[in-house]
Amino acid sequence: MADESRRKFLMRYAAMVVAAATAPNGARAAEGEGNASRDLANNVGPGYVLYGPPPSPDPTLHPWRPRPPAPVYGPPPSPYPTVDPTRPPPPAPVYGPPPRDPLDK
Amino acid sequence: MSEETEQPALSAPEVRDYAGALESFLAAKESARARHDLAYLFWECTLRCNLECRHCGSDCRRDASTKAVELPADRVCRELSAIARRYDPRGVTFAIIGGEPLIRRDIETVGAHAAALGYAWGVTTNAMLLKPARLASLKAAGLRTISVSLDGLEKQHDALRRRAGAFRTVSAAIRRLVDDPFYQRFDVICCVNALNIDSLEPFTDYLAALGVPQARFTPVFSRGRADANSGLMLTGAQLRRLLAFVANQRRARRDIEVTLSEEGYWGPNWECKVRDGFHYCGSGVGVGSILHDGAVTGCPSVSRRFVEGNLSEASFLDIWERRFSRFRQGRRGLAAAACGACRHWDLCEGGGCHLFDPADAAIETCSLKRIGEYWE
Repeated sequence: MADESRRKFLMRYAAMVVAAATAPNGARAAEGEGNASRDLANNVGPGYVLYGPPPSPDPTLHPWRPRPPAPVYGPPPSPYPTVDPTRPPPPAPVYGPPPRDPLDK
Repeated sequence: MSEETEQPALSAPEVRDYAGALESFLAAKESARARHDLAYLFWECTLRCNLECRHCGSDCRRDASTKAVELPADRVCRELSAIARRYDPRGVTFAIIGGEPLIRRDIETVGAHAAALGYAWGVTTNAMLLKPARLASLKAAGLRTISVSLDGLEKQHDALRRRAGAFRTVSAAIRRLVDDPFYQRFDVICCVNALNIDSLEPFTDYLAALGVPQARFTPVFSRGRADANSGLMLTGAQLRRLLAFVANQRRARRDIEVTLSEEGYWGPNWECKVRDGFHYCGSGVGVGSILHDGAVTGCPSVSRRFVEGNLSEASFLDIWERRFSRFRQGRRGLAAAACGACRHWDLCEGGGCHLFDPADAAIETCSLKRIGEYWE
């Protein structure tokens, strides 16, 4: 996709993410009605909370989850701990640094 | 969606910030493709399995017909040693899968070798053979991470596994793992399909009560025995229920971490709600596999048509460094024809290499179309 076309697409995509995040307390998602395209007319006012972090600017240095995603179909989870303040941290690695080149997950 | 309705949101600084993060994410993906540093190595140690599950996405078999072509442990150890000279093994997860990996008695030999080199290694298992003695053996070999497959409550799990009593056997193994947390990571993987979609909440409650720290839900996809005639594929409405379930569990629960697997690209309504990061398929970019017969490919879920070489002709590193252009630069050529001109391509890239070449061409592989949320 050409740069300008891609930029416009990503802006539109981001607007949908923000609009989806304004759904009150996840009620729409709970009903399986999470269609952000219907929410774009909603105001994106102060105090909204995105559901999750925006994608990492660098998947190799993901600030929220510094480890590669376990690919589909039965991979063991990576042993490197997640960084999620809402959950107790898993045991720290007993040796070495986190992976130098994690993907997402 | 009309152009008019999107304008108010486009002006918000949050939107610009998020779009900027997406741009950076795409640039980082491009950089990762160019570097293709190995971060995750699978070894499919066998295709033999002690079960014959209705939903299995692998090519595993209950007979021993493939045993003769399995790689010996010492060959895998040599490859691990060579890889450790090229990459820092502390940054590479080494995952042993099958078939059922515990069928082989020598995976501890390979695991111990991997641990001595500095890899973090783990297994994915159906846990039917995870008895106390075997668990002690894995522990002694330095196992760091383990995933156990459990596909619902007793009725659903035993039906999918085609084995009465399987649920209770696996539950006992899970209790042993919870009671002795010698590993660094442990999760339960559940393949969500038409048989268990209606009982995900009580199932998650059951896992939490057992003390399982993390549950990973992965929607069934068209591979192996799971084809359109299997009766297991999820409808669009069921997929949306799964996404909503995972999103709400992640928001509300603190007793167990619930996540969707990296399966598929789900668009702006769901990405980052159902998992920590954004959809990204690293197959052939940072994820490589050695299959049971020495074939080398991206992740083990991709079609066997996308094998890039075999250890009988070259080392893993030779294949990894010199080939894999289809995974790194040529994905458009592998994906469904409709993906070629799709505006979501940069973010989706076909939803993951495992969705290319489905077992049943009649099955729609576009996640957004399946859930009725495709837009351009």
